[in-house]
Amino acid sequence: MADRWRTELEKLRRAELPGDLWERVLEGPRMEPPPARARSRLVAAGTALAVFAVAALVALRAFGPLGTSVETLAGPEVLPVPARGVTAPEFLPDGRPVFVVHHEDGTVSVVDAFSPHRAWGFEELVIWCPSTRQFVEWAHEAHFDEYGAWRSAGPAPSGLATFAFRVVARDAGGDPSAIRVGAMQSPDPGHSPAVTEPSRPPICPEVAGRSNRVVTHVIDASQIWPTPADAVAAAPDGWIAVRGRLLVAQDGFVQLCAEIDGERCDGGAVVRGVDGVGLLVNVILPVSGKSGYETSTLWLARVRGGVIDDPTIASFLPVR
Amino acid sequence: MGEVGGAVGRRERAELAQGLEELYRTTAPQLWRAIYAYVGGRRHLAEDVVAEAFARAIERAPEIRAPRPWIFRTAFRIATRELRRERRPLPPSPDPVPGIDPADVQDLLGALWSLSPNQRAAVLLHDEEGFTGPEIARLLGMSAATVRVHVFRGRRRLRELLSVEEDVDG
Repeated sequence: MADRWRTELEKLRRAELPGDLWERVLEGPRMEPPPARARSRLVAAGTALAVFAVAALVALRAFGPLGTSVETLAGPEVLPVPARGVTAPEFLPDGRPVFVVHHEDGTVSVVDAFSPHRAWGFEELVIWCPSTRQFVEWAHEAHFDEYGAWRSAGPAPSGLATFAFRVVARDAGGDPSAIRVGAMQSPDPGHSPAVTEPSRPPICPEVAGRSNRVVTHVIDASQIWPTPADAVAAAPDGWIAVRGRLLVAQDGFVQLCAEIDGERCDGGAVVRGVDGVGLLVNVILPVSGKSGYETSTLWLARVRGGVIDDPTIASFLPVR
Repeated sequence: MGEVGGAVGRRERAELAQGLEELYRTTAPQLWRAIYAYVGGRRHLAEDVVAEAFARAIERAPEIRAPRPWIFRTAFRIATRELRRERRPLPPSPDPVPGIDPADVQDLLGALWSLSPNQRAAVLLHDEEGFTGPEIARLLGMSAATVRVHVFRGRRRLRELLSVEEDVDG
């Protein structure tokens, strides 16, 4: 006697592969690429409609990831502007993290969340400190003002990039309440000395009357790719969050892996742009004496050309 | 090839395919059966998925270090995405394919459909195709412990749904 499901599985095993399938393989990929990011269906025909659209966006964002997809960190086409004096982390439609700054004088800036400094080829994120009203690079602590200009510490080869934007709605007081973000603009050229300053200011000190609780982007757990191999196979178009452990082989070959077993990388993908040899010689071997580099288990990155590009350490970002 | 992932000509594709043709001969039958059952007996979707996974592997052959697990992962991911996109219920009966009578597997495919996608994939690879837990872990990009849980729960559910026992020897 055997379970019925087992006997039926036996029958299924007799199914024969269609003979002409290899010919179809040789014709190349034919199926559609991964679905494009969800586009906002709200089109502002006038101010009233724009206000309605923003209200709907804000409300829906509170209950679900409207404007995002499981493929990327894509944010909505129209971003809400926080209250005057407040800075809010947001994601652009391509999933790029930015901060929307509503300055105390009522003006608005959209500031890139990526520092211009790249260590060993890793992208580095900044956080927002409300008490000093400055952005701080999380890893190396360069400080930038609320417009993105470099102010102290480093290394920082320039200020933070900013983005052009168009105001699509205003509140009753005339302040911008919703914006559509456009092209990236050149950062302020001011930069830190070549050598990191020996004494770094605190990241987010206490200041009377102001919060010193840093503001960062929050990653939606449902949007995290479980393995780099999955992400690369699906080739999502934009910035993604992915779990993985970096493996730098003895020859400097860099991979992001779901699991590492010795020098074997399971569920992994090739990483582009990281100086594997420099990392190995200067950081990994002096510290651990062996290959592998478990600096982060959560990464932001892009998938381009079948590899992980622009890897960004993101373990410090909260996941919800 | 030029930029990885860019357009690849037919002749170039054929050259890259030579290295994968042997893998196709040994792997595609298993993958095809698993995907056919995974997508609820939709023959044309299963054909599309398997062909697409191998075609993408050829496009990216130079950068794939372990083609077999890459192809399996890609195939199951494509299949999952297509099922999610279609949002269609299980077809009333499986599409006929050479070698089997659709009526013989209709109940099984219906029961498999009630499993989660990961359970369905794990059970098919384990109990239909005979892969071990660690092999499935490598094929699907999950841990061996997770695979064991999926197989255990999937089997339990199948037993509940197809509880009538049959005499294998008739």
